[in-house]
Amino acid sequence: MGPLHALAILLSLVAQEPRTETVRIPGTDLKFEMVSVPGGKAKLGSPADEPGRRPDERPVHEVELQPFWMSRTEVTWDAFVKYFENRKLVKVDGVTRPSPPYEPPHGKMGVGSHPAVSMRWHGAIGYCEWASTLTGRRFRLPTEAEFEYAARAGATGAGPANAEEVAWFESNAQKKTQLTGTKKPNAFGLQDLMGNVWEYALEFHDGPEYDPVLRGGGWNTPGAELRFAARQQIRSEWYERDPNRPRSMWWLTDGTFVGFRVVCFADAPKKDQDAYLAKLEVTGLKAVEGTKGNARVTGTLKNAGDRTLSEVELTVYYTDEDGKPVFEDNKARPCFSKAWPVLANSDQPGDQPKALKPGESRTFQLDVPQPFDLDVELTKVGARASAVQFSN
Amino acid sequence: MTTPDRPLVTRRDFLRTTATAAALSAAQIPDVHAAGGDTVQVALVGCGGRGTGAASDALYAKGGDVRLVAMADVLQNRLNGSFKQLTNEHKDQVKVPEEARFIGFDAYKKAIDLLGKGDVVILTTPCGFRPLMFKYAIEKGVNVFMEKPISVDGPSSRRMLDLSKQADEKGIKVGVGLMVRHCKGRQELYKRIRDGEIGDITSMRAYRMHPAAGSPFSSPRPPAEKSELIWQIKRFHSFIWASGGLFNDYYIHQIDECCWMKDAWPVRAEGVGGRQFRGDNVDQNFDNYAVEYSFEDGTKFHYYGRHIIGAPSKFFSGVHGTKGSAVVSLHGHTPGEVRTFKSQSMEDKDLIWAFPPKEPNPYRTEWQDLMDAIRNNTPYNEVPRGVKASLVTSMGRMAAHTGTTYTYDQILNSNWEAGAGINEFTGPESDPPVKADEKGRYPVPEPGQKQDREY
Repeated sequence: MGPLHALAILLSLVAQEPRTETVRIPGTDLKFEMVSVPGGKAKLGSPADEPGRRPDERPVHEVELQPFWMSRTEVTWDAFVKYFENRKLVKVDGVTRPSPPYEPPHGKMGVGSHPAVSMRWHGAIGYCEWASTLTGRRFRLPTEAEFEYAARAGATGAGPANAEEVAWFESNAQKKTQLTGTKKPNAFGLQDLMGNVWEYALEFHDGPEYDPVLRGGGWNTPGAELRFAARQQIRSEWYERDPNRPRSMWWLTDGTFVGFRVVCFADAPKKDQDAYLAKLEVTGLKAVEGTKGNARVTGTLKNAGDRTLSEVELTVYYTDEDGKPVFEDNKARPCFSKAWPVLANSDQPGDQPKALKPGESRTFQLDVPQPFDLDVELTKVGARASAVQFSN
Repeated sequence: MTTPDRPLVTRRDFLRTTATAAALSAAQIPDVHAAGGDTVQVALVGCGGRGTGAASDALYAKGGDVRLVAMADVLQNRLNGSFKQLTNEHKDQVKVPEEARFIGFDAYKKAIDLLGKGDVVILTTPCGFRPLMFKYAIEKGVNVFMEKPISVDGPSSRRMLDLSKQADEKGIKVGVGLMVRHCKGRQELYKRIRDGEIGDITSMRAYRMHPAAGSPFSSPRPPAEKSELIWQIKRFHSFIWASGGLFNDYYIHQIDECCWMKDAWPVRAEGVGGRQFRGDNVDQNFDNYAVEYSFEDGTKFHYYGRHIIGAPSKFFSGVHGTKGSAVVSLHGHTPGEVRTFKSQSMEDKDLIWAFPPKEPNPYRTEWQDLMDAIRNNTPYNEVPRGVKASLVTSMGRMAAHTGTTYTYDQILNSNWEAGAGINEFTGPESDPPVKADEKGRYPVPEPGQKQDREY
């Protein structure tokens, strides 16, 4: 994409108001705004000679994305707190939630419309599940490709040209989170993608090990590091202060710069998608001991139905003596994980997501965290499709 | 281990105090000590989250080999999980063969029996068991680390003070898990307050408000939980006999740190509290508390606790003085983001001093301090301070639960005992100190109705 082409896209984008929609969570007074992100092609990743580039970044590569919806800002503290605190008032069966923390997890950070912080990846995906169940729409975390595509919004440089105007970061955030949605929107009408808090992506950092990737930089990110292609792993100093063992899988003790936002797809009602789940078959499920005592699970996913799928979410869990799924151990720790084999490595150059056609199969691999005090065998696992997205 | 095997040497205690060595019979030195040298052996009694964490912190202590050699719990799956965790994190230091993993109400004895003088047992069962197990550790002459709180009422406090004297007589080192006392930031703050940086203390206040974490709020015992006693132990925050309730378990650190800054223990407490939104919960806790502590000189310390979903969270301890004010806890126990101000409003513009942001982890420091005392054979016993912190916490709880003013002497000499019969537990079928009524509810404090007893 040449500079003129990019400019043309940019001009066409700023010329029209972004399409937005307000989502309300039934049973609560919560609402948040989703913004329509136009589909298209874009170059993601960073050139080898870009100043500040780190080795884990992707080389420059072109992706093509379908249109999707993304929350205008990060998920706010108000919204996240409704999910994790209100077990009884907003009861949703089958949704796992963080165990209540011993200390307020926002620490010194603001609440209300400040971004929710300190959750680990399971908390972020749990929120998506909760919001999906209550609204009948399907929410999930953005893939790395979706995040970077949305953050760039047509921009081709290393980071936002007008960082001070669009982002809260080290030089202007005063060492804390700032109210979401108070900086200038980008060309797609999205706010706070760069800065304020690092945001979880759907994928894991390197391979399937339970180690999610974060994007976008936070309030403590120096300006020079506020780059579209930058990727961040969960670091041990963000959780090692936890005095309990096993350490919490729901909360980071020192992660007040970690948050997330959601994306959503509007074309088919969730119930139609859910009805299709029975047509997905998982075969050849095998578990061996992986790193950190987790089970490394491999298997094959087959689309036995008649629709082409642009993504499938698989939930993989341990099973008890009777073969029943176990999602949490007795200490309310999650012992399941999720994989998206059709979307996997969605931002890897040369490894574009390929829709799963009727009759097609796809292999998958992921790590499932071990339970603390359940007598399950690492090799006894189960898997089932938990969400799909139909191809256009 | 990466270190070479040591020659078989006599344990350091024998080298240092021949008198003690002569007094010990061969029978008291288990074989497991053969690899001795300066290895400190650790037994973990109570393999829950904190116990496992404490064992891990012990294994990080520097100054010589530390090995975990025995584990005990009443629940097999808890012990298994704990063993798995510790093995993952400290592969070379966890030497607990199957036959050194004990289950049952006498498991603590078997684990302690595998230790010798110079070794240390970690007591991280619910607090109610502290006196029973501390007593046995003293009999066996092993050092102790015990998690807070360490007593729940007058009788258990008196017992612990008495045991503490016996521990001193035998030269046993005892650490108590009030790790805030080992926090470098708070130590520096204490010095600054003593040096008069904020003048004389005029009042103190602390808040702990967040949805209930752990096990303080319980629905009726599910049918799958066959043993009443085991269920109460699993949900120890719900039962006064086991933990002192959420009041003791949650609030003790902040009560202790404020008393530390004041350099005194309160002489009196008055309190209010109630059960605002408890639905079908059957436990013994209130969900909100406010306690006014008074010191000998009349200074007041106010404590506010609230565990109501939807209400804003707050975690803070602060001290006000004639020349300024100080933050003792800003949003949690660690890091100790302590600071002093020249005003009462604690605004940034009035800042006098703030501790640098990176402080050593006090959960590790408390272990290093205990291990150093063990290795250097220096006097070390945190029990008297730990009992007083537990006692004044119980004083506040009793004031709120009875609606009566409680004095320090009253609570210390009180005969109200929550955990009578703990010594007689033999198995899951034993009777716990409290029983449910026909609807599965346990006795709840009724302020004003009962005054010399809690429920």
